[in-house]
Amino acid sequence: MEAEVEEELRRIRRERADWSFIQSLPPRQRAALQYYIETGDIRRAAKLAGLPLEDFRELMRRAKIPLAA
Amino acid sequence: MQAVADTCFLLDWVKFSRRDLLFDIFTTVWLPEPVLGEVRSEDTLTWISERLAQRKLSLIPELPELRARALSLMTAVASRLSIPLVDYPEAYCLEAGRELGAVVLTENRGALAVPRILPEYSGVVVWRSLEVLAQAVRLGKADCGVFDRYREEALHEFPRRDLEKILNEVGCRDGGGRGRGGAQTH
Repeated sequence: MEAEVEEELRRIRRERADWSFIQSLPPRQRAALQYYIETGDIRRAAKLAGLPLEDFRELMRRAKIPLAA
Repeated sequence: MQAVADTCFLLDWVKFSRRDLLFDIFTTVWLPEPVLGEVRSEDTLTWISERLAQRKLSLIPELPELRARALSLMTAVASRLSIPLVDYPEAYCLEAGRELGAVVLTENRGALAVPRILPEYSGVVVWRSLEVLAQAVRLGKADCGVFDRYREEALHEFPRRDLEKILNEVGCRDGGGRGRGGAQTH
């Protein structure tokens, strides 16, 4: 059941994301958002982006990616 | 009832226009120093500082014994591949919640899983914003539209199964949770 929930949340993140905005970002931020979309792991995604957690959450908002939990 | 808030919960909750609902539910919301240390934006810091001044929020210092227990918890979770990782601020919140008998507020799926997976944490109550909103509805502090409002304002989504269950429990089957990604009410 947990795997089903994870897949549902991944689908929501993929569908809601503004992919053209994500593609316009520098590689590090783009990779970090893609990592978050696939894993839902915001802390490691923020580290990948080289951003503090709150700044990464703002980047997610600009990319229209919901925090899904 | 008291609560301990972690960073991921807080960063979305402060975007909600009815964020002070939190204090209709909890007499005190504790903010551990490792969580406060992660907050950077002026808006969030202003809200925190005002609520600290009103003594609605209170700080928990970073105590060596809680720190040690939080590190042990991180290790215990990391050794179980079935649970998402728990990072230090969330682990500290779980330990503080266990110590204080307070509800732990988090959006971290690893932290959510801890009471279910680790028997020694089975008594720790962990809520997401979803459970906070449900409690606000139960107490008559918010109506059924609060779920959609939160999802839109905080850019936040819940698993359909969990949202439907909560909407049924609080009698909001036809009044909340419509829209993108989450539960449908038909």
